[in-house]
Amino acid sequence: MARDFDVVVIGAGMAGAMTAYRLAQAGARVLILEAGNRNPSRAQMVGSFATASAKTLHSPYVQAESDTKAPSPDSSSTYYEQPAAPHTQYKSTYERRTGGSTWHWLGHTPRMLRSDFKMSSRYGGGPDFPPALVDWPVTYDDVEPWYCEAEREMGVAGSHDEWNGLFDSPRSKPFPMSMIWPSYSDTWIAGQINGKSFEGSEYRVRSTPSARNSELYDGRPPCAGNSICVPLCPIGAKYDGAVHVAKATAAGASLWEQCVVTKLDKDADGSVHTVHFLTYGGASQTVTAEVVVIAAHAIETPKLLLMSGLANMSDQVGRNLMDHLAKSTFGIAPEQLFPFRGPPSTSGIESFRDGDFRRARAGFRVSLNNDGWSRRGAPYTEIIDFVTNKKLIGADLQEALFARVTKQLRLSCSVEVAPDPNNRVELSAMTDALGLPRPKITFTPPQYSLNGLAQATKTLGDMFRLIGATEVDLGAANAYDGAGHIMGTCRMGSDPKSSVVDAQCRTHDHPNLFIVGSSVFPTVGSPNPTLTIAALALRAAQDIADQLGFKTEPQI
Amino acid sequence: MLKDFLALSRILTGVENLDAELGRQYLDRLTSTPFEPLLRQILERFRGLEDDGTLADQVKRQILGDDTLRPAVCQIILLWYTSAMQDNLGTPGVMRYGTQEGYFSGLGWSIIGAHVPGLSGGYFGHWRYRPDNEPLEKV
Repeated sequence: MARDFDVVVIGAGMAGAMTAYRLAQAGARVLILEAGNRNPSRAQMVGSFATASAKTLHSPYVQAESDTKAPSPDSSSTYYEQPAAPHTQYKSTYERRTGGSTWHWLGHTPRMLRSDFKMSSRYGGGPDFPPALVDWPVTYDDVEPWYCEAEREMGVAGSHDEWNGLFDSPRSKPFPMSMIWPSYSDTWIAGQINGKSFEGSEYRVRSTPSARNSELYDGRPPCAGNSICVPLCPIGAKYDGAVHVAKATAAGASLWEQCVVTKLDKDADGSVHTVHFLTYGGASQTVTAEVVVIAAHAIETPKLLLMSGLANMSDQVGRNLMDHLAKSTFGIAPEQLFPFRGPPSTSGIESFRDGDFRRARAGFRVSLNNDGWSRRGAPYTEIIDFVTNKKLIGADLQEALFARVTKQLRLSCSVEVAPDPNNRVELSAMTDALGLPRPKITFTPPQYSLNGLAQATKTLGDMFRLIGATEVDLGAANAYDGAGHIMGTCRMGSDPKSSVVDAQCRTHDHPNLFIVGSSVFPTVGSPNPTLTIAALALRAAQDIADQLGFKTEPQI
Repeated sequence: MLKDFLALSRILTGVENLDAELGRQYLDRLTSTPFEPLLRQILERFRGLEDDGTLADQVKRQILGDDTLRPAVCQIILLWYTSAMQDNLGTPGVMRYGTQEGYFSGLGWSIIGAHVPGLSGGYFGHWRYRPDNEPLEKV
């Protein structure tokens, strides 16, 4: 039977766009269906941000129609069904629009480590090790060439010398660009702590690899340090998924926006060819394809599968929802560090990501940040305090602000969340404007991860001590924020009884239904997930092309 | 009224070269809110001060020193430094912004050796060094 397209990709975020691009390049007839729509001009979005009262992640992207018809959660209490604050435990959000959540990501692209792919065989078996912390069906060596390819596609700036061989995870190619320069603050902190140790792990500040240009690359300018990567790069120096949407359409892919997919149909032989969607006007339409790829991240993807009753013979669809537990801590440095300049974070510490301790607690990354105490309202809070309480104006006020704010420092951690089948996405009885179920979220941080969070907090406290900081605030025990790293819910594995997709991101239950994106992660380690998402999507695109019989140029 | 507002604003902000058009915008915003009676009192009191070379000290004593007026004084400074208006005077909370021009002209960012978030005006890597707008007089 002739299908409308060779491939339908559901979701025009980075993973979907990259997959569509590669398949269109190979000659496939590709359609991308996107629930949201494209943004206004970048300048208009910067203006929206500038005048927004609350400068939230979604603030540059507010659009009345798409926010109603394909809503994006702008906080943990909007769109999701989950307990209201202060009992809300899942705190990350996403964007449903062309280009996806990479519009407001920070841009950091560390790789997963060799051991992150082998958690069970390396560290498992003990009483404190979560049973769901499994091995991946692929190894670091399987993914490594695709990491290189993802770095080339996205344009990653980094230091090969600093990152090659980290925890037995070698790099086969240098980064496409030299590193994003460390901030003045990073360099000063490195001078205070490099070579010193905390409980057996040595501090070493490294520049963080980032999909942010350090030079003209792929037609986009170098970073000018505008400081608002989150929620929007004003000049396009930071990579976002719209880059590959444009490449995909230039290669011949079709892009249909404002099309909210509602259901996939299964044929008698188990294959999935028919995609139903609603337009914003409410019209129901259908399109068919030889292969269907769901690229709607780790909440909308399982939602669609559950709405369709597909790919769930294992009962794992929606389960093992993860994030990273993020925590910000604050101190006043003994000298000026000049925050509020450059990308919000340019360096970090990787020393605590791996070790035998992972038998009982999670690993974590540490980030050095360049945004002072902005998360506590700086410099607004200080202006109000100095005028209202200290009665300062004019030059006295200026001097006081300079002396105070230039010493503000935020250190943060990002802690591995272990999978737990009880942490999950289900269909809510509550519906959106199109009458579709909203996501019902159940999430409790595993004790393994809370143990990691406690250790991370102690480590940050030690760093502040070494730095000589005052007014240190490590926050409440077990307090955390979302990292924006929505992962899990369609885990990858070799056994169809316990996983949703195989090592090629193909669903076990349906030979022509693929899932790309962070939902396939069976475990997450502690790195930001986007580079791994890209690597797996590129790898899956190769397999899809092979399955469809398209010849692809060797990319690796 | 604008002339007095600008003259007072120079003393409050410590910045001599204030943009008159922004001053008009801020004055309009202030007078179109419940904040207007306090602004009127502040400007009346300011007009009554004698410009004998001690104007800044008089502003500190007679305007800033007034517990009723001080939150409004803070709001004037906050506007020039960040273009934000508070919903509740004197307490951090919801901020309202006016024009894009106002946001990108916030003076407070230069005062802390930084730039307004979203517009560095700088080159790749400038964050590696101490800021070149560090001294207050260069604001």
